[in-house]
Amino acid sequence: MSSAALAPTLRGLGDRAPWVLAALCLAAYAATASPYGLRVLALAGAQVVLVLGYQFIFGHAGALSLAQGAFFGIGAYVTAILGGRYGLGFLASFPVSILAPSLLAAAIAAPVLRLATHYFALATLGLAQVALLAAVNGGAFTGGALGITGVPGIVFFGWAVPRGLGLVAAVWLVVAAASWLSVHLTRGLTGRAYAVLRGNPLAASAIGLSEQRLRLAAFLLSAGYAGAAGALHAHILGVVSSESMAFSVMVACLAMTVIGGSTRLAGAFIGALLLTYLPEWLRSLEGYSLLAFGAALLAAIVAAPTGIAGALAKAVAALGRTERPILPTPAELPVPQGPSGLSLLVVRGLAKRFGGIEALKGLDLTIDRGEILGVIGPNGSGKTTLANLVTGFAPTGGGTVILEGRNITALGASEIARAGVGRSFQNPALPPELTVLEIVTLARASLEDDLGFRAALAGRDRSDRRERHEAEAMYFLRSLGADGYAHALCASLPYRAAWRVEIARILALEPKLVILDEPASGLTEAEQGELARTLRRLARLGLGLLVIEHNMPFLLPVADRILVLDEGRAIASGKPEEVRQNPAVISAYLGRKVGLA
Amino acid sequence: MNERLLEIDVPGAALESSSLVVAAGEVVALLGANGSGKSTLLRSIMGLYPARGAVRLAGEEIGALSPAGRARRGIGYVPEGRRLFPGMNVRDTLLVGAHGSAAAAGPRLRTVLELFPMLEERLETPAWQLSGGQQQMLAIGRALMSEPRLLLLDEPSLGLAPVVVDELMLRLRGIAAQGTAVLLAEQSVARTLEIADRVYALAMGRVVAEGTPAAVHASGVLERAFLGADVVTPIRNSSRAEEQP
Repeated sequence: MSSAALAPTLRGLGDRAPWVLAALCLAAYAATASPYGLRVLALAGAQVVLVLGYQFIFGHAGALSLAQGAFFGIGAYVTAILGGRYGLGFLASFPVSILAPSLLAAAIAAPVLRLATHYFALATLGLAQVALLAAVNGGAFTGGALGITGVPGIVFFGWAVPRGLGLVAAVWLVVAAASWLSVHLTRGLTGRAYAVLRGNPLAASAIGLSEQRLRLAAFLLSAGYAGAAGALHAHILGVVSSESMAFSVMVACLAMTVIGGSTRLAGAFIGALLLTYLPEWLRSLEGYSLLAFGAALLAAIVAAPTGIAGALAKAVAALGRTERPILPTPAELPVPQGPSGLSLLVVRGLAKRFGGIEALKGLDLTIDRGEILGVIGPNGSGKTTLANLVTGFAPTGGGTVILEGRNITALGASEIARAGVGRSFQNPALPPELTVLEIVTLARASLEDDLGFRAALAGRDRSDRRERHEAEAMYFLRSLGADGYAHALCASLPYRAAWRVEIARILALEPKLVILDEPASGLTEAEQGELARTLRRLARLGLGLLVIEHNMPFLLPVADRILVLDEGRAIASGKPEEVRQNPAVISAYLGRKVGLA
Repeated sequence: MNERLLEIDVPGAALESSSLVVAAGEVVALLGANGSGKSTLLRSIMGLYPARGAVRLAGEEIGALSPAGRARRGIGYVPEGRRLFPGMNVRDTLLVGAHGSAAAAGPRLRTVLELFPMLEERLETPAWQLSGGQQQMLAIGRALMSEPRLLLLDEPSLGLAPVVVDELMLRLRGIAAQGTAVLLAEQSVARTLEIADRVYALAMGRVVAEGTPAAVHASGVLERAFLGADVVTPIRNSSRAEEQP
């Protein structure tokens, strides 16, 4: 084996070494532990699974769910009832314990996942309270306040796994399987897609990722993992009561996730083990143990705001070599097909109302291929609303939007993005924790895939495809003169580079129509000149452009046609020079200087 | 004292420290390319970014004061990106801007609504429901409500219709005429040169030129400050004829 081929293998070993070491330590501890110690170790394993699940919804999707404790309790109760009362073995009760909370999550997902952050937290808290009440008042079925005793251990085909070391091994096998699944579900582009979702949901939709679908998948997985953890918990304790569903379970899970780290595998282990064992270690402090526990948690959060795993990763990265990452070579992509007959975009009777304000009152417009339509109008005349309705970022209140003969009025934002309408926003929609190359690569990949967990599991974002998408992304970045920023984080991007990245991520989806909302704002005149040349170049390739802009010296020379909006209506339309002379437009919008210029 | 209402140390072109001065009743413009340090300078005057040297307001060293303390000393600030309170309606946002001087708030509200009549029709509308340009008007209005001694504006014309920008620029002159010092960072050079008394040109965080608009414009330093090594392309002529095939 040549040294070049050996290097990745060695690096792979280096990455795994801490895990192998940790597993050996765990095994050594288990071999020498007392029965009590083994029981605590098994319970800690169940907590790891609970936290791994919570990482999906809280860490990756960035939604504060307060139902994780309830899902855990449901899993525990299902196992207690099926195993304790009906004598079913592990292979029957375990899948049902996973399925039951997942189905409940699916049932409540439609109304609940639409809610904004704190309402989502409250709604899931409500669900948890209802579940707790049902458990306490469930009569003989749930054992009421006393709960269910006599839950069997883990039983395979009539063979009971011995308590103690056997049970610990069985639980930690489940932990290993759950970890494997978690790593494979969140690796590569799917993990980055979730980073977009929590960093900037607008950007997720704009690059064709369905916000709803990503969030739903995370919610279902978190419920399934919680069910599995609850089932293990029931097997270990042998008793299930409403305490398994109490809010304290949720609080502990949240604390473990935040303190360990909410998106890293190691975070789940560190958080769950630390918070399970810390009270054991502090027990000697007797009356002060709770105080010390609280102080330790506070210290962890202050010292490591991204979790202990995040802090460790940062420290390791700082120690390691800082070799400059190599830029992928740009792919050569074919130039898109030239214009054909049909009008590109036809909008008829588009209307929208916000409370008492009619933002758009039945607007008609068409855009042809290769045409740049400038849209101007006083503040609040409906320009951005027009962009939002055409791109599906807000539901229409009437009218139709036809793209190349296809009615896209009812489609969602991510579907419209993939159907061929790209857009920019007044403030660049770039997720802070991603690099420029990652966001454009994601946009490119979302053309072929929804980048959900299924794609990750099937390995569809593995090296060769990912490399291809990266090379294609580099092509678009280079064509905008932004390839030098490829490895820069979007958060640290200077303003003069942001517009280039925005347009590159729009072009990566191979749009037919590009909608830009005040693209020249904040640019110097030299940069405006460059932007204008870029827009003309896109039009020459056959793209249609709708450009909303207040900057007349920029817009009038670049646009083929100008549409003037006022109070939700078109008050003028025509060639730039005609519009510039129009007295109504001058008095309502342009003012003296530009009108005479 | 009015001669030097604001004084802040900024690095000069040849590394030696020089100071940026704004007098009461004066409109001073900061010009420079994106990333030249205009916003950073305004932020350090407001105390949102550590200043490199002394910051004096009417002779008093305010470098140790918090942003809130500086606001109470009479600095009004229109930040980049508007920074409104999304759920708060227009009226409350403006009243909050008056810093609790309830008696003065009424007449000041009238003045702001005269400047932006569009806001008067939307007094009960929450800020997030306003269009981008209306939000910008609200952010400027909020800063004006405190009747600051020194008004800092970071690209106030962003997102505003041309007529509104004309009106705003005239108003800034009017505000200055009443004794307020106005310091604004702008991208639209032509418009800013028209209304400013004095101009500071910035490049890479340093002052590279200072003087009257005419003098700075004539010196040619603006082209260099804005374009660096880039080619000069007058935007007004960027018509189709100029494109490469």
